[in-house]
Amino acid sequence: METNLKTFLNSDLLEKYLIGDISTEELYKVEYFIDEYPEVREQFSEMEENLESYAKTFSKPAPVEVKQNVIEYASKEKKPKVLNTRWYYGAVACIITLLFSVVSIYLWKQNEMLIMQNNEAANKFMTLQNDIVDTNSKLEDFKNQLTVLNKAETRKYVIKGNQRAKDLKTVAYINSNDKLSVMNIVSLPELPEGQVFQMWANIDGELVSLGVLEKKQQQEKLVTLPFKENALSYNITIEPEGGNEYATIENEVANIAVH
Amino acid sequence: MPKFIETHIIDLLTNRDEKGMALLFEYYGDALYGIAFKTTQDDDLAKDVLQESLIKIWNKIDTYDKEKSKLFTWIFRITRNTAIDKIRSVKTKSNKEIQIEVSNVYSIGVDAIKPEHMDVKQHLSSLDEKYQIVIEALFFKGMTQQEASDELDIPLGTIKSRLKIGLRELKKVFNPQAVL
Repeated sequence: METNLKTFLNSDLLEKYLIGDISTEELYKVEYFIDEYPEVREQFSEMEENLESYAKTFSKPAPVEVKQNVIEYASKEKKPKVLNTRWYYGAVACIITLLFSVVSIYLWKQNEMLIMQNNEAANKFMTLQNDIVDTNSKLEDFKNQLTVLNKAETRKYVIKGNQRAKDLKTVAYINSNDKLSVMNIVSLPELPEGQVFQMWANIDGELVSLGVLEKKQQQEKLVTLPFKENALSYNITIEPEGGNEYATIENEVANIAVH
Repeated sequence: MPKFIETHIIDLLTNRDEKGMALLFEYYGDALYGIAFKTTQDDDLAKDVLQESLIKIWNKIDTYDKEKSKLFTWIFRITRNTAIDKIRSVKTKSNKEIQIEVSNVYSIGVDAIKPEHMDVKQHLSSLDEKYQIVIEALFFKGMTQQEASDELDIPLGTIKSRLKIGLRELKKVFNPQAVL
């Protein structure tokens, strides 16, 4: 180590470092020795003092216009450090606030979207539930219809329209044992707007509504009819659209007695 | 120069206070102009060098590291390099042969001599001419050691040793009491 120090001090590296005429590699080497060895630092410090004193022996009065020029330059270029710092802090604060706002808005939108998706999912679930109930109901109907059709004790009643509804034809299948009844609407004549065919069951002289016969039901093979025990007859009348609470007897277009 | 003023100038320059530039000129302007003139040997060029150097010092003050060198060392390097670049750019170096005469060492006008340097100048003559010539060539003429060796017709090893000894001898010139 001492040899390295001696070798370094005997070289011209310190002198070259003093005037700044040194390579990068040599610079790092010199700065290492200055940092590590107090005697090197002391020698360099002495060289600096001597350089300054020596250089000043050649001092020459500097031109006044140079002073004016450089001061003018400095006054234009000056940037107070405090303001710079404040501007910098202010800019950083603005950026952070902006980022925070952007992130907040993004998260809020995400939340809104999730709520919407959740609602959509809930609605879909409800729809599915309703579909399931509906399908189950249809399956039940279908099962009942099959039951009605397949049983020997099922009775078949063909209901035809009178003069007022010549083209009306339906076939009712009644199973009193299982208390099931279905109907096949074979054909339904067109009615003026605002009128519909409504089916009734005669229960002890009173006509009880079984529902409105709809055109679309004509496309279906079988329609479930509410079973009415002890029905004496099945009647069809023309009623106002949407059906009526009580049968308009004078508008009767078909009836059939039930055994 | 008292250390306080050096620190004060650095603080002002770092804070981009134009008072720092004014003080820099006041305390170092003459020395830097002298260095510039010694290298360029031309008043106009030296004026340009001084102005450019002061502006560089202002712009680069954030790169100055007080742990690595004194302020004067740093600004000396900037001025020296600016002067060397200047003479190279105007290609005057090739037209001037180095004629370092003993008298040139002391060629400073009477009005430029400051009282604080009077004693120094007297002692400067005690520095052997052969050391002064080498210091002049390397410090102020911007020559590399090889160029100085070629120009002065002195072996490279001799150039290196004379530089080292010359700088050491300056200690006797500027700190005669320390030597004693």
